[in-house]
Amino acid sequence: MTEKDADNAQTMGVVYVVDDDDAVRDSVQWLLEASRYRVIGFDSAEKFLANHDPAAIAVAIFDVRMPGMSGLELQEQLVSRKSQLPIIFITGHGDVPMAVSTMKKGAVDFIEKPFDQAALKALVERMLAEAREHASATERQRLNQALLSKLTPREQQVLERIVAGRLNKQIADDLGISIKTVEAHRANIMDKMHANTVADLMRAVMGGGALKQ
Amino acid sequence: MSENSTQPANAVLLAFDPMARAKTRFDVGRYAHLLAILLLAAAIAGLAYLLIKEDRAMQSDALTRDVDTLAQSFSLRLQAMTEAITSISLEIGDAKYNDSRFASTGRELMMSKPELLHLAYVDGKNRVRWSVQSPNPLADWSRPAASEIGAEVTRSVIRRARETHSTFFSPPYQDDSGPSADNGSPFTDLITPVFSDDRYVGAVLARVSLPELLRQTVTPEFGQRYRIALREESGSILAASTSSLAPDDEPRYAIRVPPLSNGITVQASPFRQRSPVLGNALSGLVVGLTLIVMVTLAALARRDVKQAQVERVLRTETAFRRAMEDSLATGMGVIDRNGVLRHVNQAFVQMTGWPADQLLGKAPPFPYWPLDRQAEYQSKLAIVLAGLAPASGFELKVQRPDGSLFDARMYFSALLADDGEQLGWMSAMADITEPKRISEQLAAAHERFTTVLESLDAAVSVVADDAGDELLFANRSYLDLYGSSPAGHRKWRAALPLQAGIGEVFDAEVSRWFDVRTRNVRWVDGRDVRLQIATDITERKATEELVRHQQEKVELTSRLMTMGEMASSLAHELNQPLTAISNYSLGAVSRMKGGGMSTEELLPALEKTAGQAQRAGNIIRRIREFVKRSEPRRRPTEVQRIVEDAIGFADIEAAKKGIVIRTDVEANLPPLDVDPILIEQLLLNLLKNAIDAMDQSTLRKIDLVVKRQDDMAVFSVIDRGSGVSELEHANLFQPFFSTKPEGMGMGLNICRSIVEFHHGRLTIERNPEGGAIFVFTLPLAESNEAAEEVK
Repeated sequence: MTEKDADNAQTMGVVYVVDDDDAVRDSVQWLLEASRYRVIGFDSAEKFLANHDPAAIAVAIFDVRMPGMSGLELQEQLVSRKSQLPIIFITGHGDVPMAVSTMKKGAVDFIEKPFDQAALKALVERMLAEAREHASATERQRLNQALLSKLTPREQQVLERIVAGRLNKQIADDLGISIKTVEAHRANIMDKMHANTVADLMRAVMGGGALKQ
Repeated sequence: MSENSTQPANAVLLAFDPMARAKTRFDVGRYAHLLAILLLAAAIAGLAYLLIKEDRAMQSDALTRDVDTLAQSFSLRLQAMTEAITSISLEIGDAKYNDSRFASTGRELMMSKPELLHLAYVDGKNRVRWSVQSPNPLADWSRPAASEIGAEVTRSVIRRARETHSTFFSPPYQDDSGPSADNGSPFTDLITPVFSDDRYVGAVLARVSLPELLRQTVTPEFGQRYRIALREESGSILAASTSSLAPDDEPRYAIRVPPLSNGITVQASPFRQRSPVLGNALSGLVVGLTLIVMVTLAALARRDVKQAQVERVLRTETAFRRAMEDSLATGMGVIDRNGVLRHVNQAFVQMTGWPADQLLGKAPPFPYWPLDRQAEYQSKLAIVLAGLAPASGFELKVQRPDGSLFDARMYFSALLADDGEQLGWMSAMADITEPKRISEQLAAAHERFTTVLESLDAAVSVVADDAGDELLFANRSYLDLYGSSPAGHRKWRAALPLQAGIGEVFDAEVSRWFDVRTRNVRWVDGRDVRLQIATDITERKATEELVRHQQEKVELTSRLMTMGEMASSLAHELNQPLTAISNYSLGAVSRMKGGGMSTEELLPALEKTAGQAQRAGNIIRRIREFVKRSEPRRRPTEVQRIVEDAIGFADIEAAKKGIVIRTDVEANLPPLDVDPILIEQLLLNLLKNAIDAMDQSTLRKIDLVVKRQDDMAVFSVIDRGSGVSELEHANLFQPFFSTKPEGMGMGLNICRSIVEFHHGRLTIERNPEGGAIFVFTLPLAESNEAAEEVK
């Protein structure tokens, strides 16, 4: 694996393969590695839960049938931990009720044995893209939150009203301050939030979740 | 009341007779009447005596007075004659008379004095000179002129008149010389001397008839009241007013008549019928009244005695009745027509605890009514007063003065007087606390018994052994099934084996299975009856059948289905190595396309691939082994057993749809060489198909015929259903082909597989009667080599 490949793999994300059948797990790993994915195998759900990195940009491939904790139970566990990890289930023959129940619980898909190489690759790629998108959204949110926390309480009050679409004069009346003071606060907010327009400000606020009260 | 019945009653009553119990006591009252009667009688007698005495005295006075008057009449009459004769004699003395004058004067005198019968003038020598005879018919006797007065008595009177110059009446004398006995005698002569210048010249003799004198003197009124007689001194009667003689004891009174000669008296005695007592109307009335009074008193006395007797009987009766009433355990009460309580007996008082004086005269609500029930009892009383009280009476709670309650039953009947008039109502109260408690216990026991019996799911019925038409007893379960007809009972009985007391019976009419137990019992009236208890075991039977069926099915399908399940499981197993092989191969292909793939890298992958191929081979071998193990387990099996088992279950379904399954199994068939569970399943499957096919059929029969054909048994299931069309016929054995909406399309396929497992054939024929005939053949154990092997 070249240096470039390694970097590529880092940005592409990790594929976790959980299957008790050594031959299947090993062969899946062999297949995905041929497509230059970084693959980490676990022979049981328990081991996966204990060792995987929740923060990593990753996709997981679970065998439905496993002794001990099954693939479906493993999904439940992840849902309860508020994990956003996308999951691909390997089934002998998928059935509809199972599919509905699992898909309701998060980003999942199914793939039937034996695998179509292209289909598997496409599925993994799509899932990883989802994971990446999710990861960047999370990062943005974290950043905005950090910016918001730098505002003074008065600036936060003003920001609330700007976001609510009120004019400077109205804000001044609401808070019992002069229009000039409002304008000064406004300039500070734009600065602190690295926003050039009100639209930027709106996005930052929406992405950062509810304002601190 | 007849004599017979009174006797014992009297004996009983005697015990209650206060008089009989105190015999020595003297009853003054009883003799008072007698005494009164005696006293009255004595008083009346005394009064009568006094009255009679008084009357007699009065009569005596009257008699004396009357006789005095009578005597005076005599005297006056005689004196008048004396004067007339005296005047004649004086005139003769003056010689103024001659014979004719004497005669005319004499006759004149005789006209007015009829008693003067004869007048004669005799001279100094007692020779008759003149003689005048009275025209009175009595006076046919005469002293003829010129005859001499010979009688010395007359001569001496003449002499005495001559000497004394006075007139005299001669003593009375009889003269029977007259023409008849009744000639007026006895007579007396009035002799008057005739003097002429103091010289005696003769005397005038006037013959007076004493009886005629009496007749002329006594007035008729006088004569009616008295017997009147003129008597001589000697007592002999000279003349009498009546011929009857007065009794000696009669009062009489006699007085002398002065002008007549000495010793002649006039005597009167009253007639008997003129008795002063009897004749007196007042006395009669008194006597009569007295008699009436006495009779009345006697009657009263008798009545009194009778009344005393009656009273005694009544008192005895009353005492007896009172004793009875007081000894009664029943509380008697009488209410009048307005509902007012008029009488209570001892038991009533004891029972209710209310003293009589707090009850009597009370109008409802009565003190013994509990407060909270007054309205109810008031309405009941209204029913009673309306005369509508039920014969069974009323049940009520009675409250004692201390507030405690007890249960009582009150009966009401009309209280009628002798004349049928209703006086009020008679009530009888019985304390039924204990009976009620017992009856409540009994009722509760009965209710428990009934509840148990009625809530039994088992149908209990009793029918007389002989007739069988009368359903003596049936509980609700039985009635629900068959109503009040003994038909169900008989049906069960008939369905049971003759001597058996227990058996399972299927009743097609109600489509139920029953476990019937029957036995003879002695009924309450002594009859021999049959008690049957039929428990509905349809559910149990169905469950049993279902369990058995399911068990068989489990056994069968665990073999048939396990094959499928194993196949699925093995498919998964097989998928694993295949997936791995695929992945390794594809991975290798990708790498080789990318180039730069070393042999060291490729080799382990290829080895792994080969290993997985080996793994797949092993799996397939295991499948083959399993399939081999699932072949039918043959053993010699009786046709009859398979048929019975299959029919036993199919019948339930058939009975529900009113379909009869008939079996015709050839006798003496050798055992089949089959797997019995599979064949049973096969037969049941075909029967159920037949039943399902006959939903719309009118002919509701299925025939199962088993016959031998060489060394095979031929089973034919003949239905009268919808039959099989050409199209269906072609596809019937295809998997997943079904004519039923919810069919899986596996039944006939499996059936054919089962038959073919056993080296038999399953075919379908058309039933000429309509419907289909499924025919399959199975090998017989006899003359079958496979059977030998199994053994």
